[in-house]
Amino acid sequence: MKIRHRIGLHPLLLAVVAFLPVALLVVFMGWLIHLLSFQFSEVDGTVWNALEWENSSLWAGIFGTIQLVFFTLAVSLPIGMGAGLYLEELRPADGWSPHLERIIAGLAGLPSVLYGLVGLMVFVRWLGNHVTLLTAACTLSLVALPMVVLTTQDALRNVDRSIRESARALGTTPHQEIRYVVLPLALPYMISGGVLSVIRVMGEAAPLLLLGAWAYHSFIPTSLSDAMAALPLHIYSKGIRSDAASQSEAALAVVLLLLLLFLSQAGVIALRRRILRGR
Amino acid sequence: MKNLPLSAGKKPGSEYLLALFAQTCAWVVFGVSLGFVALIAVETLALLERIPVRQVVGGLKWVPLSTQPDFAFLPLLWGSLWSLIIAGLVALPSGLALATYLSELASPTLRTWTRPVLDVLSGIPAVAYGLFAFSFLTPLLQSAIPGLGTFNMLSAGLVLGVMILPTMTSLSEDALRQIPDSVREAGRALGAPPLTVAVYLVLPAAGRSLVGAAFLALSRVLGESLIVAMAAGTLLTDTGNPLEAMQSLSSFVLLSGVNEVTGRGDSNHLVFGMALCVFVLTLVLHQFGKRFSAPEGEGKS
Repeated sequence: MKIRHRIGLHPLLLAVVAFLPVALLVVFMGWLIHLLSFQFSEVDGTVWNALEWENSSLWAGIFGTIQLVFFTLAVSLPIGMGAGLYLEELRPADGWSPHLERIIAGLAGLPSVLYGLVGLMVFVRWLGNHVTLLTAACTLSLVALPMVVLTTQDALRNVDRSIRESARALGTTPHQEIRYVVLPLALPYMISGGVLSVIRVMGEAAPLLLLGAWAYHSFIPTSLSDAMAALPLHIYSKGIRSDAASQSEAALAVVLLLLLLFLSQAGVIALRRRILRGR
Repeated sequence: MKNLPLSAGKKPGSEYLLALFAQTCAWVVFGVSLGFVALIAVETLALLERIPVRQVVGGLKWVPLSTQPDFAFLPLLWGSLWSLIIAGLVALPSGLALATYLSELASPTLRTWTRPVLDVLSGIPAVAYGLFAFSFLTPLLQSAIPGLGTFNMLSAGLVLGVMILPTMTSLSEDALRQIPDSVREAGRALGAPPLTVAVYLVLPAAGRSLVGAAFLALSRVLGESLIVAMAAGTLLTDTGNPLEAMQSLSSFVLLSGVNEVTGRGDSNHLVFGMALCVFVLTLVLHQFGKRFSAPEGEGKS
């Protein structure tokens, strides 16, 4: 065939290209492990030193990130889910709300630096705060909010039309239909989707860097008005130094951050599956 | 589902409370988004009051404190363009090939295995990619390319390409799935092998959505600040050479934002002007992407 000669491609070539990301992932992981093990053998036990409780900047990062997840969830989950519910189920077809939907979809695609800049402006310059756990959580909530709204809308959209119709056929008002039929069905997906997007935001360092790279503290925050700590910031502050000890500590922090993110995401998904199985 | 708690208003009125709560939340989100846009716009106006537009947009060098201040808009734009070009060169062909392979040629088993890997890759935070670029890729490239700086846009762009590869792949795969099987069957009936069908029939048919996927993926490159800041450095240069240190629009926002807002810096609202540029450019790319990737006839929403 003429056409085939003109391409001169074998499916195998395409397969090689297709495995590029897998190879990249392997290289990335291999490099991290190499950094860790090299450091372990060359400089006696530096990695394990970093893991000791006294050198607590790593631990501060881990616990700071976990605290940030919870406070960000507390702010963004109710508001985002409520707004998503309104937009998907209750909004009138005219007025400002159709625009709001478009605005939120646009905001979800915006880079997180901009949120950091706005957070810095509002919380630090206007409200005169220092960068505390609370302000960091509020800024991250700004980043997470559009995504929570979008996942909520997605979850509600996936509720079967026939179930809605049978509810209406049984004589519910539209509000009752939402409260007693649609919401219970969609809630596991809404919550898990929201939590997943917040966890994803926790890997973001750019807004936190804007808020507090220079105010970065290496102790675990004990109250909302304490300075925040976060693992991504720890990675950044270690990673831009080129000595071997800092590099390996950054690598360790990356491994821990990836573990934290993936395990928590997997946990949320497993939990959702478990809850849904009970249905 | 268990029993429906519909039995004549077990908790009368709670559905109205819920609706009220939802509406309040929507108002809050609306207010926050308006405030977000307004804040950046107002600060940009404050910038333009002090410095004429022409000077900001045409700025070639970074001399903010002299009597004739000049601002590095064009070098920043160059930085952003270079990152787009390099990342595009990495991610677009490779993502397209991967999507074609996954959607047209791969066995279902392989497909189910590749998806999680892509998800894992897309879940890696930017700071990890930044570290990868700065401490792994740059030394590697330096041994291959003499004269490559410790900070350079090349490795930043390459890693940015890797970062958007999963996005590009899954978006393009979705686009290819949209093409009805009848197209493939027609090709196969004419005796063309699967790869020929994929390259000559399915890809052109999905062309518009593929362009949309590319736009959506590239809008992430434009907004990514941390990888550029880590790998391409904090120096403002005006050489436009990707082998040297460079800042992009968004990395400038990241690096100068703190000095600006806490009043320690000398950048005079300029961060907000650049933030507005990032905002508008990302939004435009994003909207183009959305419009292109929507199926024909639905392009308006």
